[in-house]
Amino acid sequence: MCLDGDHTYSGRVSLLYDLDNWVLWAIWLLAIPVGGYAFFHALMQRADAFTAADKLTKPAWLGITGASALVLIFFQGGPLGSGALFWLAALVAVLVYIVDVKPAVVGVQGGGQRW
Amino acid sequence: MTDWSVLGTLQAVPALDRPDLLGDPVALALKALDPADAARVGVAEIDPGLADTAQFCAAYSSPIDGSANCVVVAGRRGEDTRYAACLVLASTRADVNGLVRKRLNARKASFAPMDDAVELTGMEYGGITAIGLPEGWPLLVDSAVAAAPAVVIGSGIRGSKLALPGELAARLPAAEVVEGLGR
Repeated sequence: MCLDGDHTYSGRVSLLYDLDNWVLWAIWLLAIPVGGYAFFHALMQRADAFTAADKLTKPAWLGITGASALVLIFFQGGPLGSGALFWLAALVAVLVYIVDVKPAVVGVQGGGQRW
Repeated sequence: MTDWSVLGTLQAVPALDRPDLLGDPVALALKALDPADAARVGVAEIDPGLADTAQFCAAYSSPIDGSANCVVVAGRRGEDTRYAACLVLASTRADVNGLVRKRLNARKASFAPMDDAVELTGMEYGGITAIGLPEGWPLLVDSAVAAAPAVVIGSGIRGSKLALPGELAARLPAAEVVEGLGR
């Protein structure tokens, strides 16, 4: 038990709060190139591959990844900015493209890994 | 006389009059058709640099939904690879992962890599077409193609295009009309 706990406690909280912010900031920083990559990857694919893979159309995914990349760039994360709600949503959209759509679109073009 | 106006500003002639404008397998297959049918296939010379559908349509004022694209699909099940060709209007996209995959009874379906498609068909890249496909390949024709009064398809080479009635495309050897193939 600490009697001067009041000071130490708020100190610790502020440290945790800072840590939280810095982690978010690092994620945000890493997410920007990932968003750009997703957009350019979608751009380079043939349009009929999206239909062939049973996904939304190429313009739809260009819109989703493009808008997400812009949101990621303009809503800064971390201690210096706000809007984590928006850029986290954008990051989720980008990750859906990379994890689900991209392998399907690449695979339907005959470029998938042979398991 | 068949209406070949779907070729836009191009002047078409009966394809068998200009075998120099046909890929070898295409010329062979046309000669094997009923002469009355073959006479309804027209050919027109184009700039080989404009063989891609979007550029072709823009350059020669041909409607985009008057062109049909021929896509070669490879379906795999284990070590076994089966091929099929799909003919869909250029304004639509082939449902490869759904209808084609099921028709080929394959576990996985994808566009055939262009090198394989060129080698197997004996046609030029960008000129692969529904007439003169290798033996045993099903030709899946979208019902919208079959219903079209006339469609533009490739000729086996990049330097020309064919025009033929959709109804004839649906009766080509190994052709099957598939509802909803193009989406």
